[in-house]
Amino acid sequence: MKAFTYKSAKSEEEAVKALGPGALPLAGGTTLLNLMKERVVEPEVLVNLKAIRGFDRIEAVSDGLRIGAGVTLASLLENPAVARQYPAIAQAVETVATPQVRNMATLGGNLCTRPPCWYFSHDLFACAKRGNANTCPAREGENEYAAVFANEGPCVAVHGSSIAPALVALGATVRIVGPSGAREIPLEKFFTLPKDNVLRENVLGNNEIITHVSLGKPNAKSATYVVLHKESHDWPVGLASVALEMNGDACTSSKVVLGAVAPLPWRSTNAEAALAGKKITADVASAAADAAVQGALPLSQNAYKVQTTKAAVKRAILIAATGKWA
Amino acid sequence: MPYKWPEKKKVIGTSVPRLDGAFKATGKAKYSFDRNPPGLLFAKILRSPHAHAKIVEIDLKSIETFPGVKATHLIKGVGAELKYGGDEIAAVAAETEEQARDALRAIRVKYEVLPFQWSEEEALKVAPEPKTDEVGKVEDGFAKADVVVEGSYSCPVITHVCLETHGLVAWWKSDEELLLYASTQAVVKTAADVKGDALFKTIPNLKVTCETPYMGGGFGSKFGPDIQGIAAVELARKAKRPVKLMLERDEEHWAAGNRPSAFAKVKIGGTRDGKLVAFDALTYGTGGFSGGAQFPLPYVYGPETSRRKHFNVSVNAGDRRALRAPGHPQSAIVMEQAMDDLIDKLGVDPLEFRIRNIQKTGVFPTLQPIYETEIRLGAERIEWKKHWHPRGDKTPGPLKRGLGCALGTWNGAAGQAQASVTIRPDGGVEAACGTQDLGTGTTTLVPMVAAEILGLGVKDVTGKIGVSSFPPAGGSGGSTSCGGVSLAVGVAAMKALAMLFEKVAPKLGCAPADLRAEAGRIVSSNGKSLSWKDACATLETQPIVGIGDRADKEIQGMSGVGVGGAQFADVTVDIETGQVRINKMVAVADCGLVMNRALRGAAPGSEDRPDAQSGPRVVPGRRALGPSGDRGPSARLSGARGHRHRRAAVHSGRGGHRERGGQRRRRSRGRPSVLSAADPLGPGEEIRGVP
Repeated sequence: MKAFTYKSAKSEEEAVKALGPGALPLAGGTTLLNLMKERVVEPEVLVNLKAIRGFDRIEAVSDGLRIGAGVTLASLLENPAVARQYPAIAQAVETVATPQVRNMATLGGNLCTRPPCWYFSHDLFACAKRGNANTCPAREGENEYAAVFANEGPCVAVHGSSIAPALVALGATVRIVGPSGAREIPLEKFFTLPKDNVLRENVLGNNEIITHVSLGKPNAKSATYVVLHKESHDWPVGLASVALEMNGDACTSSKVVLGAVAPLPWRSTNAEAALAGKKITADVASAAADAAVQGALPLSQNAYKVQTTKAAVKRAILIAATGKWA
Repeated sequence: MPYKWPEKKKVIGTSVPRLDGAFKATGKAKYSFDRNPPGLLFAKILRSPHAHAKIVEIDLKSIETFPGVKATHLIKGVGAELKYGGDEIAAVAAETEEQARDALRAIRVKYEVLPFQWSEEEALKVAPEPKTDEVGKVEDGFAKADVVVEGSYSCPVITHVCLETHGLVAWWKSDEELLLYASTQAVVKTAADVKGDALFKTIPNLKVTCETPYMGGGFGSKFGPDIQGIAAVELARKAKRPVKLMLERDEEHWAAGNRPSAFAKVKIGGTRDGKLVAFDALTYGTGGFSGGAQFPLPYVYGPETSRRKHFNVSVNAGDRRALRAPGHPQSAIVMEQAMDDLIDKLGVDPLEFRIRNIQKTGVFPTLQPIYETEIRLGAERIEWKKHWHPRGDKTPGPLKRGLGCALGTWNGAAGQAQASVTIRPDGGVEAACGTQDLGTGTTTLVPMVAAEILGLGVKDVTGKIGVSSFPPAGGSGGSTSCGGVSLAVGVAAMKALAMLFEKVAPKLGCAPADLRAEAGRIVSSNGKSLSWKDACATLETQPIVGIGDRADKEIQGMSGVGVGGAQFADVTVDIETGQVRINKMVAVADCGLVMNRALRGAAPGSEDRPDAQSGPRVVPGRRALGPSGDRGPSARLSGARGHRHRRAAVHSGRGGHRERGGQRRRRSRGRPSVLSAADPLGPGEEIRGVP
């Protein structure tokens, strides 16, 4: 690890002031410290965000829930309001890493996590995302966990957040502060593709941080289904989060968002169209699952993701609508 | 007179909690990683970033003045061939780990990158033609078969993933006295290898001691100092300060050994009346740059005719090492899958077909009745009759449940070991052996065995192991330690006790042969006795030392070789996601004399390996390699949630032993061996179950 200066910010303003070129924000550190040890990132300054007041709070507000970016995944998982009103979130969080990691890792860190790619995260390899090559070693190499959607760009890694699809499906917004003040944008607009800027996974400037994630009223029935290779401590190989707004038996509107298949949470409007106005049955869910993987372009080793994703979509829809998939 | 275990055992076979358990649980136990002698330096290794290359230029001079750097060592110089990504090039020792890493990064090396091979399939095309092993004429066998099945089966390379990584701390106490704290399965061999290394063998009167009271697992990958260990010793000599060089996790996967891959194209034939008549296999595998990837086939079962051709293929990857019954898991994976495919097509009973076709030569006639018992016990425990169905679960939905059975075998002879048992005039007893405890309980075993023979309690004996200067013992691998160490310590204790009897007999007015040691007393058949302490006082000032040697010709029938085991799995497969969940595992073990009931139950080991977790897809022979054969991805280990299923380890109730040197103990079905007759575990007794 390269030597760095440590600063601890007590407020959003202090954090923004301390950030800038050569500085990185530090929350739980469960990804960042590993990357620093491997010299994948070499910040001159680390700015601790955990001391910002209110950063780790989950608050019920009049029109929903406001979750601080510093809330640990463990707190998020244990929160009864989240589990009751937004089950898709709890079902996603539960599959992330291990209890030990969830005790440290934060929601903000999870949304801003770097790609779970063994080439990117090892100092031996040069890659476009590291900024020390123009090519992606995974494209022709060991790409079994890489993207099957939007993988035509300079990097084929998937986004590392298992929680973002649920938040996008639930229409969450994210509050960002920077030198010019605060702004709030839909989380769906937060993530970016490698072809736009391969060095980043989101719209944050280098002196901006996420402070909160806000959820509207829990009007939708939601669920997340995650396919893990191992039963714990693993990255998903198939993930779908869905939010269904129902009128009686009929699905009036829906959001279907896939994880582990693209460089960002992958919203499937095809799947949503397949659900529109329908009564949710196993056949309808299957049709939506087929629609969700339309256009997938697997690489040499990850065609299985088409199948695992289909299973995840179908099951997430059925769980959201009926509470169980089988 | 041949040595024998006592008929009635007081300590052996009882339940003695690990003597070192509290030390490990509280962190008081010092592993090699924890050793920090005064003035300690930290060393790191520069490794090849290329799958195959030659060193054209390298300069270590430039880093010698680097901050904190105290010594450098060139492992491979200009012109040397680097055979895999991770091959060792140079080592550096510095005041801190960070300084050592920084210095490594500053070393400039010019490589000539050479063509490389990383695909087993491609390497197969250029592999030398091996000889064909043939029993009978397979064509004749297939002609007799009612059903012939062909299939391809494979398993990938896996790595050991020891909890404690490889490495050691080297500490020169003087110019000719070296102390090693090594994470090793072989203290004696590690010390000897360092002493005999070209770098050090010219040092006059060199004394090398390896101390390993605790170590964090080896699984067959830690039998010597390794290249990094030699480098650490040399760095310590140059710097005149102790040096710690423990590998990092990624280095473990590249450079610290692996279990070779196995690929097999199998054609297998059987008859409807239950005979395995033909087996034809073309196999290959790789263990890295040396190519060694042997595994026995046909395995356990004996087809009437068989043919097998095996290619060892070399790829530019780190070299293989022994890993838990080397070769046998690959054999079982290939053989049992082929058996299942054949059994399915034949429509015969999977268990009966297995029992009927066990090999008829070597150790197998002895094992045959044991396997039969094991299969019967295992079938009961896994509820075979209730849950088994022919292939194809008709249950609606994607979750399909199935049962499987597989057999294994291993040699597992008592390994070479010597031991000393010292009885002191004050009654103190020490049992010393240059073996080591891999976590298998040897620390507890050694005083148990001495206590058994001397009629004492375990706490009355001080066990001393894990130091290379103790009476030499072989490496702990291949299930050889418990047997060898027990024999050496047992015989050493018998010899020491005989010497004590000589001294005590006159005091009790009898002959030494009239004496026995029991419950802390030396008792004469004439009714007189002395307490252990008073008996030892007859030694006056001179301790007595009994030396036991496993090679002693008088040791017969105290241990055996050749074991067989049966395992059963009840699994659910999600056919939409490829996920496999284990519902229950049953392992029926043929484990012979159980030394310590508290430590029995190694059965879950069969599921502990990373390959035991099946994935959502089948990628034959996927290696932990990068896109250009460079170092890349790492292994997967099953996590805690993957181990929630019920499991049971069941003892077969038999020893499964035959004597060493090919003299097989005569035994018939239903007649337990001498060893298992003494075994406190009854047939079918569950030795560890997790509800």
